[in-house]
Amino acid sequence: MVDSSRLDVDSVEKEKDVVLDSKLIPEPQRVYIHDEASLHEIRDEIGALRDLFSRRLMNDKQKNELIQTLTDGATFAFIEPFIHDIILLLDRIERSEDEVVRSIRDELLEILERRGVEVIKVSSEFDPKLYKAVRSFESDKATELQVTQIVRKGYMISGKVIRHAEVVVIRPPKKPDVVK
Amino acid sequence: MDRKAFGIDLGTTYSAIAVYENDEARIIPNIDGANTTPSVIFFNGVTSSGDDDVFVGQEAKNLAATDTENVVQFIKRKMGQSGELVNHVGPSGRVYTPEALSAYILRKVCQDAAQRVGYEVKDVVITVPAYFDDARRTATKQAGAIAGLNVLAVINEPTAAAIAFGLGKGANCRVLVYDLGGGTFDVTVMDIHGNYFDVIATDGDHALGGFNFDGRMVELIIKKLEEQGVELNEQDDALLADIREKAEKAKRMLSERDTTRLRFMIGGKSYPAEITRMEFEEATADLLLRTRVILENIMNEQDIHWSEIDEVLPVGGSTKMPMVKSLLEELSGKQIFYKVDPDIAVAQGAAIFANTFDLDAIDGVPKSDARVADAGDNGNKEGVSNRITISDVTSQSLGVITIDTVLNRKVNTIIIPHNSKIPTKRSEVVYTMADNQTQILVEVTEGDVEDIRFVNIIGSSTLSIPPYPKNSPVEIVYAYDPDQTISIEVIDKVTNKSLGTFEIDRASNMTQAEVVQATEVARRANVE
Repeated sequence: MVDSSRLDVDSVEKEKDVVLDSKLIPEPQRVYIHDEASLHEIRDEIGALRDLFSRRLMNDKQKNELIQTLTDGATFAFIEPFIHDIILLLDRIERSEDEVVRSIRDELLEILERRGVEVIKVSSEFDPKLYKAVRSFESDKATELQVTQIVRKGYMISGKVIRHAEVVVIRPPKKPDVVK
Repeated sequence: MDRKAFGIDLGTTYSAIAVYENDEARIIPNIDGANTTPSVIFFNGVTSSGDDDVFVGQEAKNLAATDTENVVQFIKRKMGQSGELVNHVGPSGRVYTPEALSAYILRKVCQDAAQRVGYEVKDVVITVPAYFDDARRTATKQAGAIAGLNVLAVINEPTAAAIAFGLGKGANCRVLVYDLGGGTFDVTVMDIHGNYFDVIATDGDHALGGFNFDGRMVELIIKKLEEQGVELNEQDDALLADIREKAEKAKRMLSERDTTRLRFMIGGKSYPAEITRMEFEEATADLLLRTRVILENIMNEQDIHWSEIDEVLPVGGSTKMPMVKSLLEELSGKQIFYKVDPDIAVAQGAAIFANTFDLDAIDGVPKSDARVADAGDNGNKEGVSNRITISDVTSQSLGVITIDTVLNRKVNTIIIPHNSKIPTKRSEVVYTMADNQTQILVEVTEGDVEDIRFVNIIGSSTLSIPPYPKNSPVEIVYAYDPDQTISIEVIDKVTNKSLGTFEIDRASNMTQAEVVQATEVARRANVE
């Protein structure tokens, strides 16, 4: 078992030693800088080192972000094809009227939900970020693009769309004064 | 402030952007998290300010079926052309050229990338198919300018892939790039000597791509279903979408397995469709043969033996199909390895090339020499070579229309053949047709055949000539410069004096004033 408090005390004591040691340096070994040019040189060097240090810190931050992005991407790239296959299976099940088959569908949906996969909720207002129109009809009833039918369900995981909900929409008739 | 140059693979069906940092070229995902953005534009009505409301990418694709008249796809195939047939009229009545439309794709890709990296994306290298002629390359540069970008260079897609493969490895080899993209096919032979990329020859088929192979798989699935008595209802959107999606998956699956089993639910009944790799290969044999013919032609024309090819680089997602690998192994007699990622190598190579530009040195000066690109000095960055030099060849033959006096018909006489090293200067001596002829009409053509019906006239000029007897010699000199300028000089061979010179001013390209105007329109547009 490691005693963490003991370790802390040790490190503090060591640091004290270092400070004391520096005070013990005999006078003649100290370096005095009389030359202004050398002083400037040292200042410049410190400035450059500070700059290098900040850049390295920034690089580290970027690298960490990149590693995170790559890890997320790799996980998604690994899991996405599998989920996609399950979704295609669900599509087929959706078209069945058999009760047992439908119960399997519900269970599969639940399994996906537990893994963070959600079915995209479809409202009547067409949202191109989440839905994909597969067919459209002109209608006097429409004032804007309106969803009338869901052809295939859409799915997303952690806010990322795996498949857009595929829908049929009605659209307002084209105005005759539109220049084409 | 951060400033980096980016590489863009402006594709027929999808586009991608990459940047070189931390010693590697990485793809920057778009705002939806995808590595590629559909090259699709949708005009979604008019905004309150009277401008067109533009959607680009996946959202445009999602909206496409709501108004097919306002969707633009495959615009890359129309680059470098002009006229009503290739332009698109937006809902506001504004006319968009292919350049202006491509600019929207570039803008969207850069806008998304900027959001990811946290600084402006301004300096870019854009890739184009190797078969693109100078008009199409100029159009691509103009698209970049309209998008508000500083186009550092326009380079060939296979060259970019070769850069991704060979740079920094001290390669010294002859490479054949087999590029089967979504909508186009290109083959290029080049020598790599360290950072010097010397293109020997290039050819391609711009109506052949992965898209055609997908279509054949859909046909195969439908045939299998019809064999079981299924009558396909074209209004059954769900089934059609299911077939398309499973066709794409099946194509991928058959790259790994010999058989794939698909199942479809139609009218409450389950129908299987088993597709074997052999069936798919038979169904697409003619497509693969088209690539083989082009490959063999290029080798024969250049008198290159397969034993002289050190590396074969498959590029483009469709090259993952085993039949492509088998074809390349059969022809080359070598085992084929995927030494670059076929899906992203082009964008990666463009990013590596972009990174070699010294942005401070060229600030404000668009350096877009696509053919012989001197990358400039980039300082002493780790892992990046200072200069990349690309030596290219002409992608099309340039000729002149002459009269075949035996058959008494006009023919295309080639002066600079396809695959000539750039820069190049070639000439042909022709003879006057009549006594005391005072004028000579020089019609400059682009095309590989003699029959004038299959060549394009890209420029012409009428020059005066002193009256001489019939059959007096006149030399027509064509010069193709690294900056893609084609200049023509006509020399009176009787006196050896120049009768005049002219340059090809591509009528199909936008004028500078038109580019400026389109830039202003694009700047105001709201691109989502």
